[in-house]
Amino acid sequence: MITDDLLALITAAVDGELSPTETQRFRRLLDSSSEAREIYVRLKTDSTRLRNLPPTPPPANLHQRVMTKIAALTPPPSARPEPALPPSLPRSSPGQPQPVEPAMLPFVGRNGKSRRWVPVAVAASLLLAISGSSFWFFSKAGDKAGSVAHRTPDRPPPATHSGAGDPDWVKWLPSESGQQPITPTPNAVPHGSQIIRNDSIASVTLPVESIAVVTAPEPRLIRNSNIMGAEVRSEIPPLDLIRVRVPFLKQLSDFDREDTRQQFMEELARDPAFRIDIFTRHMPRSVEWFRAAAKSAGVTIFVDPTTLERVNKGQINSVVVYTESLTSAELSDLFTKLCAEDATISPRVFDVIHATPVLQADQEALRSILGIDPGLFKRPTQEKGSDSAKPISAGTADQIVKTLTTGQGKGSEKCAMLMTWLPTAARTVPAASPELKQFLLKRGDRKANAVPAVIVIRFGNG
Amino acid sequence: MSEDDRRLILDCLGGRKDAFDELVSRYQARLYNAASRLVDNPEDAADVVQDAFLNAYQSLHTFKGDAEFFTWLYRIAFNTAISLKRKKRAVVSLDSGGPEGGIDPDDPSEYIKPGAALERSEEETQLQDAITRLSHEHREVLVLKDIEGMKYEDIAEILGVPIGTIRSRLHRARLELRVLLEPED
Repeated sequence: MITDDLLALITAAVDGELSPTETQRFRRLLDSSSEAREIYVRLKTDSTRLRNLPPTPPPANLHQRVMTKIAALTPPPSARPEPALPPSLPRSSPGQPQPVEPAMLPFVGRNGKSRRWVPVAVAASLLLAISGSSFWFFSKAGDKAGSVAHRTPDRPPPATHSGAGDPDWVKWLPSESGQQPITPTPNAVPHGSQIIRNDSIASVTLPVESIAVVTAPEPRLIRNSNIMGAEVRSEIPPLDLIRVRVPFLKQLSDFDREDTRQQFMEELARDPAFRIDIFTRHMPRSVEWFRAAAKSAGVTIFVDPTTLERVNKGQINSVVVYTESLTSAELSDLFTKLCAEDATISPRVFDVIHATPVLQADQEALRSILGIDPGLFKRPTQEKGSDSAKPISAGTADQIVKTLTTGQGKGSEKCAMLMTWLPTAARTVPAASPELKQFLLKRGDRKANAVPAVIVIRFGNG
Repeated sequence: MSEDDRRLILDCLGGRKDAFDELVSRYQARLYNAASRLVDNPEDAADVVQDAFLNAYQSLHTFKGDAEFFTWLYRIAFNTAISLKRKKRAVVSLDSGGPEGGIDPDDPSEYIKPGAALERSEEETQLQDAITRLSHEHREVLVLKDIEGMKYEDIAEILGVPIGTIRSRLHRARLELRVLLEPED
């Protein structure tokens, strides 16, 4: 049965506009559904037929018609044409020639349209006016500056056209005899100043006097030539090589990449058991997605109904899914399917996935949730090779037959248990959960290559 | 935008009429092909193209150059086609005397030239007939996507709607076209 969502995926494939995630999803759909293949072929054929429609040639006189209409809008060729008017404004009749205006880009014709160069011209003229008036004002002020020099006795008056001949300036300048000027203080007039001869100003050449230069103190002597403050060691001791193990930390959306899946499986091979935290933006939806992904991965999830009810009410901010029957490849496949489920909706629900080896605290928490010791740190013993010469006992034969016919063997079924993780006060009492009992019955012996996983789906910010 | 188009537009704005002549020569065939799929007869298609170029010439100074010239031109052409259809619909509703108030779309093949319908293959006729019976929205997006080969982004730019809307319109358009073509298959 093809849902609307899958139909939309098929039509997007016909459009040729699938994202990489959608492309993978589409390929899986084609692989799994003959109905989808048939629909895709039909729609693609329709699209190809449309694409192959021969183009309809335009009438032979279309170009002429267009240019005639345009010519009717423009002035005769001897005058430069007026650029077009905006469509929203009233146009003149096509038959009437427009008045010729010098073409300026961008420029819109007359009849009350804005002229873009006008503001620039106004600004330029204002600037000139301000500059001119400022110049006039300050030049006037300079002429009066000498008369108000007494108001600032400690400072020389502003420069004037009279220059050194200005009586107000004279008292600031040292005289040729070397005598100090009458009014100024030593700080106001630097010693040894020279006046640059200027034809417009009556210049007075003064003798250059020595200037007392204050020098900085001598730098302190450094006994140790090592300016960094530490001696350079002649022998470098051997360096310790520290290998830092960085935990697996990726976006769930990266699980559509092969290198991410490979890195995940390599990480899972390094320790007996793992805690895998998945951060989500929407708890109820994430639980629903996880269950769907587990189902498509062939994993049976036993769900505590009290936990589910509290998730939907928003009373729980994290749940735990415990499984000890999946290998690293099967766990990778589970998260890949979860990634695909998450990609069906925008924005995505899941965020980061973080895998670390379990700690003792995790085992303690799990023990309180399951009511049993899960033995996370125990590795199952490898099955010893059987002695083919030894006859199989009747009980063993019955067990084998039962396994093959009913599938109810120890550790043959992939299963997991979903319970409340936090808050601890909201955890279901293990004895009160029939689903937990079912899970523990199905659990069986752990496979040799299985990786116990404490998967915590938790609400994360952003 | 291609450098050629940019140069022609600048020349045209500088007063060179032959520059716009060159633009018309470049794009009239393609524009006419698209317009002929949108409207119901070749004469209307020619009017759409003519008005589109005229509007483009008059508003050339407003073209910012941030998109392809033909995308901008198509947008004008499609708006022109919509206006033409609305005008025709209003005229038809006043003129029609039947109790239902509507008429069947004209057979476009009759307007091209005598015998033209015979020259076209039966398949093309069926397909063109199906396109004619599509709703206007669906016809637009299919023409731009399949006949003009445009991407979602360009179609969204031309029609002035979000990309998500284009995707869902194309989805419905394809299904509608499939239904229309079903009896002939």
